[in-house]
Amino acid sequence: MIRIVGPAIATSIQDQGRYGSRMQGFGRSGAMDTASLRATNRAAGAAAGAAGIEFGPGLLVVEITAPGGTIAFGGAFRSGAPWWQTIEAEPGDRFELGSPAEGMWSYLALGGGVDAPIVMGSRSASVREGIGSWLAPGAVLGAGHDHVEPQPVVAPPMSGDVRVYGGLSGEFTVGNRVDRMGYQLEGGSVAGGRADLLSEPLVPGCIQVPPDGRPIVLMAEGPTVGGYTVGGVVHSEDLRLVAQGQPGNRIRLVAAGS
Amino acid sequence: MTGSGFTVEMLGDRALLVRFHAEPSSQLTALLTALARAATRIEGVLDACPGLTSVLIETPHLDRVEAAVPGMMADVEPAEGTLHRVELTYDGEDLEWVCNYLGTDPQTLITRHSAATYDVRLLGSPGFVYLSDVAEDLAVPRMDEPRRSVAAGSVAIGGRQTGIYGRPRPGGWRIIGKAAELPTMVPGDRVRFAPR
Repeated sequence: MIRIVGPAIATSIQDQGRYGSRMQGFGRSGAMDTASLRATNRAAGAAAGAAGIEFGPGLLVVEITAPGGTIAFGGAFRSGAPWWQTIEAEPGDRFELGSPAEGMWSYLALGGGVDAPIVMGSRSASVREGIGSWLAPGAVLGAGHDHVEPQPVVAPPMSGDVRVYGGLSGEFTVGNRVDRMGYQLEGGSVAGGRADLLSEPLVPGCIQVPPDGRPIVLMAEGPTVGGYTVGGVVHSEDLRLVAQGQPGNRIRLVAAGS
Repeated sequence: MTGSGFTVEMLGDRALLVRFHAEPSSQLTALLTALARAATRIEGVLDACPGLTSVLIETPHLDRVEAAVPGMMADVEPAEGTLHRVELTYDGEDLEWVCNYLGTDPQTLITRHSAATYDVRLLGSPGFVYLSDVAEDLAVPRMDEPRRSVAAGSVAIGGRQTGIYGRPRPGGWRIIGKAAELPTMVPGDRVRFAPR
């Protein structure tokens, strides 16, 4: 078991996302960097689809409160713990993870996965939809039953060109408005889009172009329908690279091969 | 791919959007909802839902599922949705503004707004129920500056659209009333408001 002594920004339980509930108006949610969560799970000894703790920028302090179990940290690198490695955790162990110099989202995985209620097929919190909550000081989390043998892992790349289907490309800067719903991009020369189209479904990775011409890349908790121009869709494997971009980072969008 | 009255587009590498070349209508929503339900029964489809004139199908198997769309179109049978009665207190923040704008009085507005049956066109996250249009002479412009948070249960008009905020969220539609309790709704259902 693990206790959150002090949460970082947007600390929550996430897995690979919620599918099958769009008809009821619920979006995907899930980890901002699904590949990093899967790799962290592997190092900790949890199935790929298991839930872990996702945390954004800022200091995270956690404490191990019960014996028995492995844990692992992964995603955006922070000082204060071995990274991408299996850790045999003992009661009283305390980890203080500083804010990342590069990247945004990091993961703490428990052997067996983090236990949390399954809501519509997923353990992912989606606070705006009323599912789960941000983890507060004192929150205690136990391990689930999705055990696998802990494995050495290769860290997924944390930056690179972002492949986009459907037109939009070029160099951009990640803006200041970034969260689990969307990332605003700045500095490109994109013609303003429309805001009065019929509301049609959207998926994470869709790039909305509002009339001001500053594109918004929709993320895990982005809107599920919208009436703005869609200027392109980020390749599903590359959306995590956008998510790991800090405000001010340069980002290059390139045409995805068909 | 193009079929009779629809086009299939790729929305990235994990989703298809089947777009219909038609105006939103009750019949279209019933068709789209039935199509979305049929799509979720195809192996390898992760999720599906209707838009106003389209159906989204999430799947990693784009080619195989795209090839299955015409067959689905031939098979679907639109079903009639559930009719929900939603008790509504017409005391919204913008009721007076709306009445002034339309040049009417609250009683007339309430009578007219509650006389219609609305279709549930689609549901948006977090918790927004998009309903079919209000009568043309009940249309009101959206707010220039959207509210930062609209309370759950609020019923509002924006342009000709009317909708229900199922969860607190920002919004710029004119709030005319509050529902104390909301049933679980899905696209294709219908709603009647009962003034209380």
